[in-house]
Amino acid sequence: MSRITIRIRGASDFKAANQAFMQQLIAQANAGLDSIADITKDEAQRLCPVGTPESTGIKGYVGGTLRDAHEIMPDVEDTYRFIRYLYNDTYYARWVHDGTYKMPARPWLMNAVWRTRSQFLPEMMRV
Amino acid sequence: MTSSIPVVRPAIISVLKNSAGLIAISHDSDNKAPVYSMRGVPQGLAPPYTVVRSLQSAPPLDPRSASSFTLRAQELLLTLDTWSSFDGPDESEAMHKAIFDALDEQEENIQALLTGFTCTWCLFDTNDQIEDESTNIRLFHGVERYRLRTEAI
Repeated sequence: MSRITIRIRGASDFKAANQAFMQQLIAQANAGLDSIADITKDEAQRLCPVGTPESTGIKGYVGGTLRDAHEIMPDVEDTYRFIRYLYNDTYYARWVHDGTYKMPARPWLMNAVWRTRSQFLPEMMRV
Repeated sequence: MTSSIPVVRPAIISVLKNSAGLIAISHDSDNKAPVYSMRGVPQGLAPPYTVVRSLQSAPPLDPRSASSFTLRAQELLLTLDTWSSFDGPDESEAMHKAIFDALDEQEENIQALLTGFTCTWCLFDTNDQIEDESTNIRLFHGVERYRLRTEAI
């Protein structure tokens, strides 16, 4: 029985280049997601209800707590899960967003996603 | 392009009114589930009931892949509110399950009630259960969202 052995040189170089390419791909995908999240956050802040002296009945009231409380968070557990969370931790946010028995819903976050979604793919391609 | 919302809204209400799961929880005098459009909720109606809050439409996500089908397609976001005054979340969760059974991947049932459009899919998106303390009765407020796609025939 005869044996033919072929030695391929440069496999380690190929592996290193492949890993570098993957890292670059992940970085670009994350940059794209960050950009999309920023666009959506800007729209959410634009659409977010802001209290006024008239709506609250409080003279000199300065609103904007809800508007200024938007945050973006990546998925910190797995970098391969390309996810960004846009959230608002104000305790009354969900009552404003989805309404109560006495107050109509004002779903600014869902509307922000809905209005900016057509920009998601072009933005990913651009980045 | 003509919006499919005016034909989809009554179709959704009809599908939900005839949902066996929702009827088992509560029904009107006509033996249909209490499901209403936003402006159609009877004054002083006691929970449990379901409201079709909104339907929003948008073109499909990728306009570059537009074909004769996608050019006539619309994606819809359906938002429903369920209201329950039951002591605890059980009834609210039962309403969620009944709506899920009636709508998720049940595009054929919606399709059968449409004129001028096809419904190519109807998929569950999100569900939230919120305790509502804005009245002197503790209510459970369910928010259900579904995504649909329609195409003009």
